[in-house]
Amino acid sequence: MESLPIEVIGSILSRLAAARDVVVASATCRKWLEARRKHLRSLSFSVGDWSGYRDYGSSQAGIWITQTIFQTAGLESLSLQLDDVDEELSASAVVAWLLYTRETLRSLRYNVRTIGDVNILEICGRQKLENLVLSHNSISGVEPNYYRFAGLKSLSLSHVSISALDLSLLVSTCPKLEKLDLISPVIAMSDAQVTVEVSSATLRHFYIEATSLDKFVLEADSIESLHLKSCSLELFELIGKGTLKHFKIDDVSVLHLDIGDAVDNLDTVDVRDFTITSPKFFQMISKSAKLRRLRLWDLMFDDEDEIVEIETIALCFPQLSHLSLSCDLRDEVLLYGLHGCFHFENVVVLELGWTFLNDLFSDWVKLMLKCCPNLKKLIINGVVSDLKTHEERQLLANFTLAIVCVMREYVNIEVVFVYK
Amino acid sequence: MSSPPSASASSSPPPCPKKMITLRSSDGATFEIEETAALQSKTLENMIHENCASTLIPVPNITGEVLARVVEFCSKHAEAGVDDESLGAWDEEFVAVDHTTLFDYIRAANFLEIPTLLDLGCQTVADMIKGKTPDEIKKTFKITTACTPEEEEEVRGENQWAFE
Repeated sequence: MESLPIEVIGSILSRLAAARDVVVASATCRKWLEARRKHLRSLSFSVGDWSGYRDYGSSQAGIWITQTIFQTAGLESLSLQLDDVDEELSASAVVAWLLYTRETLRSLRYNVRTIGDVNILEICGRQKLENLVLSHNSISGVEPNYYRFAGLKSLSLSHVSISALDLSLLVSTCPKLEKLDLISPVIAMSDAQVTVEVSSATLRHFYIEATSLDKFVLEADSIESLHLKSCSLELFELIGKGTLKHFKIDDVSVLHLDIGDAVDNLDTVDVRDFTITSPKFFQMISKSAKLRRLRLWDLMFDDEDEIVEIETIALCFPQLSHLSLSCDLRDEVLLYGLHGCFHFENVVVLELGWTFLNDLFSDWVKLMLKCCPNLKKLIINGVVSDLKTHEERQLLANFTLAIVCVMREYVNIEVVFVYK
Repeated sequence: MSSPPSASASSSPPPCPKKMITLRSSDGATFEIEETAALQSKTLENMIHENCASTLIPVPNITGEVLARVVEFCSKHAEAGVDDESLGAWDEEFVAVDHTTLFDYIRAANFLEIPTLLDLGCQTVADMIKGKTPDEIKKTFKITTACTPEEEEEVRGENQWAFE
């Protein structure tokens, strides 16, 4: 250990990251101390790691943090998770930390409550920042002529208050942005503006969670993945050049969803807990002949015309290798398409799930197995926590027996059970 | 390295049979490694591009035993179609070794500039250090060039809050 170069000790301490651990470890020997002073690249102050930041009071914590940061040189990654404190930290102390590190800082995770505002954008704009994770803060007065995040590739805003206009302007100050996450954004909109519009020619990954908005328009010519979670929207529109590969919707209700006409590059579509009220949702993805992975889980169809027949899935997506379907079989609707002679030639992993178990489920499993001649893995996914009555438990027993018979017949298929 | 304009993001098989590079350790043992695997080392990448004719590269700082394992690591990480979970499990097993060997891997990764192996090694050591006092660290890693009592006092005095 003693022959390890000092830069490597610095790397080890950087991976330790939690400030208190780093300081304690650096007391081991002079070399380690110097490694902390000159070769430490990553430091993290989090109430989660040590409650002392909260217990000893913000003013004391502020002093310790200032000391520790000022003992470093060339810090590239700083994480400040100091939201869960009893009193706010002094803004001037926090500004001092950011000013001290900003010339070398590439990654900043900022979740700090301060007395007085800390204008992160002004302090860190025009610097080397590549990754910014901002939580529980507010952004206002974005000035695109005044600063640019020339190197910013990844931006995450979590529980951040920002106006629709400022969000749009902020993204425009990031010419290299590749990843944008919006989690529980508090987006204020003036009466004149009803739409949130974000535009980025370089954006590849977009994630939005826990928001209800009227209209969201994303213009992104290089977009590869789009993920909406726990959102309620009137309109979501993607304007792009058909580069989308991964599309995921989870617990979303949207009246009008439009991902454009060019869907040729779609590789994965993962839809769960989605209220299909927008017309032609399935038509929208049906032209994705290259689709390899499809999940249609816990869907609710407002309109009977929207109900997807399994035969249609087989015809539209000949390259499909992973298929996950769950439905409420009380309707018997999804069994309609299973009497035709179609096959999922390329499906190697099939996942079937129930929310309400009944006798029909094992029949469905058997029918689906017949349709997947090259299947290697079957995943049975079911909710068992609400099977309380004797009849319900008997259903599970019958189902288990049916699957045992299936497994005897299809010995080459790996079967996995996921019960919740 | 420039790629042809029409190339997709995933790598396509080379038009010719896989090029093998031979590495020679400090104790004279030789090991063959596919060029694609060797490219994980920035040092080797530079050497390959400079010595195009010769395919024997001496690696004077690393013993045969360690070099063999490093070749194994690079080859595994250059393999196509391995999912993240199984690679992670493989990595965990790879570093489940005694401290001396672990430091040998780290030294080799540092010399050969293999970021994946260096990250893995450093993270493993960091996990071992977490929560230990300086005395415990000294004992675990048999560090003899420790701080003098005065030096240790200096650190503790400066950052007393961390030692409470």
